[in-house]
Amino acid sequence: MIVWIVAGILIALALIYGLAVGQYVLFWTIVLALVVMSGVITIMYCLNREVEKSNHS
Amino acid sequence: MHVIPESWSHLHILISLFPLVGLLFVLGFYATSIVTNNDGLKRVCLAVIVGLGVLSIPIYVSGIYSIMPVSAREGVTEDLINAHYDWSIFALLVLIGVAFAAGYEYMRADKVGRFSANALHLVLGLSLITLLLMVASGESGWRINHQELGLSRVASAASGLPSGSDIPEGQGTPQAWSHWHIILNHFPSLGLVIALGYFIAGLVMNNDTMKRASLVLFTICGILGVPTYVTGASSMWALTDPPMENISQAAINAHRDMALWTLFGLAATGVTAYLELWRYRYKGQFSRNALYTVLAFGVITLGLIAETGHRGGQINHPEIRTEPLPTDAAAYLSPGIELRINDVLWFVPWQTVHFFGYCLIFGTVFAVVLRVFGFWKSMPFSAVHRLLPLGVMGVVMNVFSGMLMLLADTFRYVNSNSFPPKMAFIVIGGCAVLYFSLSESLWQTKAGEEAPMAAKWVAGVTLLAWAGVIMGGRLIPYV
Repeated sequence: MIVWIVAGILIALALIYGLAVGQYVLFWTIVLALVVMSGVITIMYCLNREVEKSNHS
Repeated sequence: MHVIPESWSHLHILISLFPLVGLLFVLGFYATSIVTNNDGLKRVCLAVIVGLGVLSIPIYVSGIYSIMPVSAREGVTEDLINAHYDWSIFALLVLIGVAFAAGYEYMRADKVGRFSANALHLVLGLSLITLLLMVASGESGWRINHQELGLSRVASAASGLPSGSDIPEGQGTPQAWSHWHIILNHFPSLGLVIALGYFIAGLVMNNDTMKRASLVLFTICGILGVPTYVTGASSMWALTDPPMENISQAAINAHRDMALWTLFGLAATGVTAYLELWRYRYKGQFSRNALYTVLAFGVITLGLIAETGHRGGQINHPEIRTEPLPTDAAAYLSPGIELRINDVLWFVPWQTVHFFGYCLIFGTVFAVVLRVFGFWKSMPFSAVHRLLPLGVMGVVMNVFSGMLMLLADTFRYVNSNSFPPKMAFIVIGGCAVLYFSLSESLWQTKAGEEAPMAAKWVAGVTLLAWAGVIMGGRLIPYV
């Protein structure tokens, strides 16, 4: 849990820094990477949850 | 959607590739039916081969009636037409013979209740001969209207277009790209038609082998969308720099826009199909919702690809044009994307996504391949098989971001020495990964067991292919 909180804080700081100093490339790169990787993790979670169910049934 | 032919030439263009590319895919299903000894699939394949034989009549008639309109075009000689006619008549006669053999075996098996292995192999052998003759017929046919295939690389005038390339001005894009595009574009298009036909038949007959084979073909069509799009972008440069008479940039842009949607449609269909193939391994049965989702994506993509093909035909087939060509080259999506993606604010984030993508692909491939080679034998193969969708996500990320980067500076990429091999390796690597989800002997590899030898060879090819993709991409600025 603590790892997620620390990671979240670091990412938020990077985003704020990017906006504050006008490094919009940094800002949008982090946003896009977060969105895409979250999508990948979500899809993998859904797929593997179904497989786990069939393994235990 | 422009699938209703508006002239004999239009009809000929629409149907003449079915006995070539269509037959190739049908033979894939036919070989599957023999290997799996699936009688339902054998019946459908024999019926489709008969259908292809019947199609030879409208192909011949439409070809004869196309001669006059196409002869009116400058550069079309009697020799070109005669060469195509001679090969075609030979190929069509052999095709009719194959259709008779297939029809006879279909009716005989229906009466007797079983198939003859000799008859099935005879049909297969004759079909392969037909395929070779059709290749000669197709090549000679393309040369009639596609005069640009005879041109060598032409020095281009300084085009004045912005380019980050180090390639000197005055160097044109080879016409080989146009040739590849003319060949490749028929594979996802006709492949989708054949796949949908077999898929629907599989759903109606509730034949799991047919459904599975169709899902494989959907996946392959999705993979082939990538080189088709890339060769199309390259052909654009080959045909417009230097400008050619009767080639309209606006018509090309209309075709490109539709091709972009088609690429997305093929990706959606291919990915959904593969994920269902992957899930089938664990569940042992198909999900009805997933199959209908694949069907929906396939039908939508078929509509998109039909319109893409129609717009593509308008570019270099003046004999089938019934409406005026578009004139405003800037009025389309693709030039707008090209302009926007050159801004570093857009390019860098998508390039970063591309880097994440190939990390996912290579990490997944490496882990699976190492298990097949014999590392971590305490894990059954089914455990590492669960990683494969992660690699598929990586491919989707990279196709999308790669397509955007290609649009940023197409001339530079398509004229680079390492980009064409990269595209070829993507196709090889993508198709090779299918093996990991299809091979029964590999799936049965339990904890502590060695994978079969054939699987190790495929694993080696897969590893080399994806390593080649990464190296091909990285070396673009240097080779």
